[in-house]
Amino acid sequence: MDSTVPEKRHAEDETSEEIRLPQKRYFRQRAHANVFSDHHLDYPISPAHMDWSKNYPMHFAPKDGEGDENSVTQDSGKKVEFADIGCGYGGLLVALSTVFPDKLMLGMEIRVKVEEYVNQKILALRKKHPGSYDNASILRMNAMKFLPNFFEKHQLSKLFFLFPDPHFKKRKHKARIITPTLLSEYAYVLRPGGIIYTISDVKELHLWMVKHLDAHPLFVRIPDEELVGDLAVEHVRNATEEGQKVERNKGDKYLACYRRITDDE
Amino acid sequence: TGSIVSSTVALEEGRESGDLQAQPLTNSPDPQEENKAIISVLAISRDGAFLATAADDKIMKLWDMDSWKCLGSRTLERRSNGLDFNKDSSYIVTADKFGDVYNLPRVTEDVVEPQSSEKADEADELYSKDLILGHVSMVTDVTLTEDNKFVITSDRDEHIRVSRYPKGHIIETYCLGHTSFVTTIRLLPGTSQKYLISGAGDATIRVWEFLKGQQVQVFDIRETLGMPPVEDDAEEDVTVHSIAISATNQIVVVLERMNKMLILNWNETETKVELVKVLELDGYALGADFDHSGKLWVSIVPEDDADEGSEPVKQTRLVAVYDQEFNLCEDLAKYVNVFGSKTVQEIPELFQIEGLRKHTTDWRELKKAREEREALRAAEGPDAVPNKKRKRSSRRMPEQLEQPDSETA
Repeated sequence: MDSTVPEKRHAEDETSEEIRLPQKRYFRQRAHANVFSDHHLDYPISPAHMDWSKNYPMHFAPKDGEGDENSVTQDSGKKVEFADIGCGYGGLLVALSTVFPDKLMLGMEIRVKVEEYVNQKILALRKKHPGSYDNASILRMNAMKFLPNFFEKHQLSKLFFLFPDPHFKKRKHKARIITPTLLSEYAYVLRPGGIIYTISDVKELHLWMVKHLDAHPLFVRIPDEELVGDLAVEHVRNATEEGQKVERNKGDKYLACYRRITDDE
Repeated sequence: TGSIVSSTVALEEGRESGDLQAQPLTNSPDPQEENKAIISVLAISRDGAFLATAADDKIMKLWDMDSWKCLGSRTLERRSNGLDFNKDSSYIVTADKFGDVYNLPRVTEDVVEPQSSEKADEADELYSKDLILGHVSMVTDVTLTEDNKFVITSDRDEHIRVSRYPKGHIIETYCLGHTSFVTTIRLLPGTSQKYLISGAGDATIRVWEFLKGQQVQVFDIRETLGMPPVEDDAEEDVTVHSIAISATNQIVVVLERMNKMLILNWNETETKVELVKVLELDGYALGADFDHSGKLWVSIVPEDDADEGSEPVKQTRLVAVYDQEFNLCEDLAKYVNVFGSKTVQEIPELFQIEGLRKHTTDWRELKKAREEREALRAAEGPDAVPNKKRKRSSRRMPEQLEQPDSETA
């Protein structure tokens, strides 16, 4: 199954790299992407094999001992806690980085150029505001397949799915980012008490996500009243490019948040 | 239980080899019951009462092992890659090529059709209630633990996943370590019931303490066979086809398209598998298993037959039986070796596992690189281009792709 994790949506297929490219290059790029897409992604054999020092140089000492004078010599002991699946241009990460300065957060994005953009942005922000934004980073990867390679069991406390690709066609529904089988993998990396945030401006997709999250035994809906104090919610609605676009077009945003309960409840 | 090869033949009983005359088959199934497609997987229930077979036409059949009658059949959602029974044979677990795993009540009625997709859309029921878990990758094998508390599944993306059974949505842990598609997983016998053995396309056998997701041993097959380490950009590697385990902790490892098999011993006190013997065959093994007396049955295809487009060959051994000292017992399989079982029009594709390998480089680039290497070797001698040993501890991250030579030996 070669599904990718796009943020921008379209009526056709998954790889949304092409939406920014002129028609002619779309076809060349597309053929290339279909053959190699998830195979050119590097991923560690297991979470223990992962060298996070390239993403969070202030929190992880380089595994192979090759650092520069700016590297830390010891791990800070922190692990990634927030993951933004299909983070696009990184709006949420940038916003949450200062709201939760002591939490490590990671965006996952499969599109090369978009991931490069976010990477440059974070590096620039770190330079501009020394001491800030060290806790945010981005990784190019296929979150549908390889989450367990990066994250240990119950490692994460927040998982974000902002304006996912709706995959409008019925036969593509199973490629959606929220499905009964994938939810079990999300439950594996998310700790009991952890929260999944979903938002979409496509009502049908929102209803689909709600239906499957409701049906999954390990997730329980958080009623809107309980979300009032949640510091992330406001940014989930407004911090991303997609969210702002929906705002400009006066669209509706459908939010649904779920708590991951314990295995034996 | 004898070894069975995927084939188009009708099932038949094992026979005593007394005087050898061609005998008519007495227990051919009725034409309606007969398998018409290639059987790709089978499983036998714990009590030996039932045999389940799943074929390329997506039909799963249940057979009574005494009468060999077909007790029922069921059309699966997709072709199965793995089958297993639960303890009391009330359920059969099937893992399919899409990555979904279903817990199906044992069929006693006749054909049960899956919902057609149009009907499913109307009811908006895309997901069957029998679906207990799914990988986002092709599942290659499935096994239930002895106590039926867990279901273990392996996939093409090197994952081995341990989930609760039947609540497969609760993932207990992953056993991560293989660097290529996992082909087979088996529980190791013993008092502790804590260990799992796996084989993959990365030329290793690994032993795991599976509830902890911990790798306790890596058995290097290439080293055992005296082969050099595989080259970094190699398109192929030694691949484990299947593993079978005897009642006395002997393990046979069938290697895909090779004329050698490994016999290992599971040493539970030291929690490791040890080499007993490398068994040489006069052909490629298609499957192997131990019977109750500890004899090893191996089905073989002659090397010539295995290659496409060749002429059908002189008579050779189809089934080889070895005793506990791994000497050939000619008698037991004599009948089938002389008379064969059933003739088929064409031999199906026998060696398909290499198709699971993922390739990260364009084949044209690889071919070019290989040709350049060969030319260099031919011109300057074999040491001109040393083999690069593949780094097994991790996969390269994107930034390191820019300097490919820095970490290779």
